[in-house]
Amino acid sequence: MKVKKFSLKSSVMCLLPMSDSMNFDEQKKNGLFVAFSSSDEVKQNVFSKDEIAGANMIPEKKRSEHFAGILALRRAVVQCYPNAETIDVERRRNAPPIVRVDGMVLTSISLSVSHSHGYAFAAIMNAVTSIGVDIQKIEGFVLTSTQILSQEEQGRSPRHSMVLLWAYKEALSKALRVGLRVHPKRMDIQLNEAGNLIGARIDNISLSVVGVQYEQIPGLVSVLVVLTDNRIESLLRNRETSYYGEHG
Amino acid sequence: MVNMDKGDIELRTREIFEIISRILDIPMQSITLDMRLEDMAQDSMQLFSLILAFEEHYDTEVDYDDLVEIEKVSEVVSYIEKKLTTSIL
Repeated sequence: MKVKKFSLKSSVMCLLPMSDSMNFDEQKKNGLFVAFSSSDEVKQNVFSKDEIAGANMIPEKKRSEHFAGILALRRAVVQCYPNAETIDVERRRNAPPIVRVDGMVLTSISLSVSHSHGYAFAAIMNAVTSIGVDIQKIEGFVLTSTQILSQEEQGRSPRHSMVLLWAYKEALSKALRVGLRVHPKRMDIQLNEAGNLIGARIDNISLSVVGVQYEQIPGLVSVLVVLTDNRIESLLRNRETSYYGEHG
Repeated sequence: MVNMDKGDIELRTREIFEIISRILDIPMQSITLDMRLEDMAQDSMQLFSLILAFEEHYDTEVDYDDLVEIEKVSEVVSYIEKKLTTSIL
């Protein structure tokens, strides 16, 4: 998988794997792990009774994409827990999924999954951060700069595509657990020349955030955002802060 | 409590079905009130496009904090009806 390299802030470096380091739990590897899957692979895989039951409310047309999301999550999780015998994924509405490894619910991790047009993208990382991913089809993207860009962004010379900017805003919304409740025009994101996220503001409040795009699937933009803000717990739980809402 | 005339509800429902069908490229006859918007949309762009389409058609602004309570088509109908009734009063 090709990953665009970019220089990391020192506060993020310690959270990413430089080697296969192990923490006190010998099963678990520290770091950031991502994975992709497609609806085409679903039929070749086996799903648990709970995973199948969880898909009953999903329209049949989207069910294979739902299972592709489970597959991608499993693939991300197994990189973190390479000795796991079973990995079960419970998808939830408007909240990050619950993952069980060998029957134990994972609590010290941050997860995110996204789907688009038959593909799924998932990521897992230590919960000292919050992550969000988004995958978006390039062809047919219809949103315009006046619909999704902040005043500041509209004032800058365009260096990146609307679909890339949109994907980063969506991923950031997921990392913040607010979904569409924060209008994309309230977000001001900064990308470097390579198209990696190096900063973000919401209503002129700066966030400590980084992001990267993956070139795994032709025709789709896939991005991951890592929210490294040390105010993250209060940001996610503070009901009085209108931007961030309730932690899922 | 907003009093809704049955004819108004049917008209509004049909309008909303038409918008959903057009934006999400779904046959109108396959849309039902208990379907979830998230399940019908292919991705986040389509969902946001749907919100913009409702805002444009009804010349109103959606309060984005309300979106957490709007998941099903039936809830969209109720929300739009409430917004329109509030704007008239």
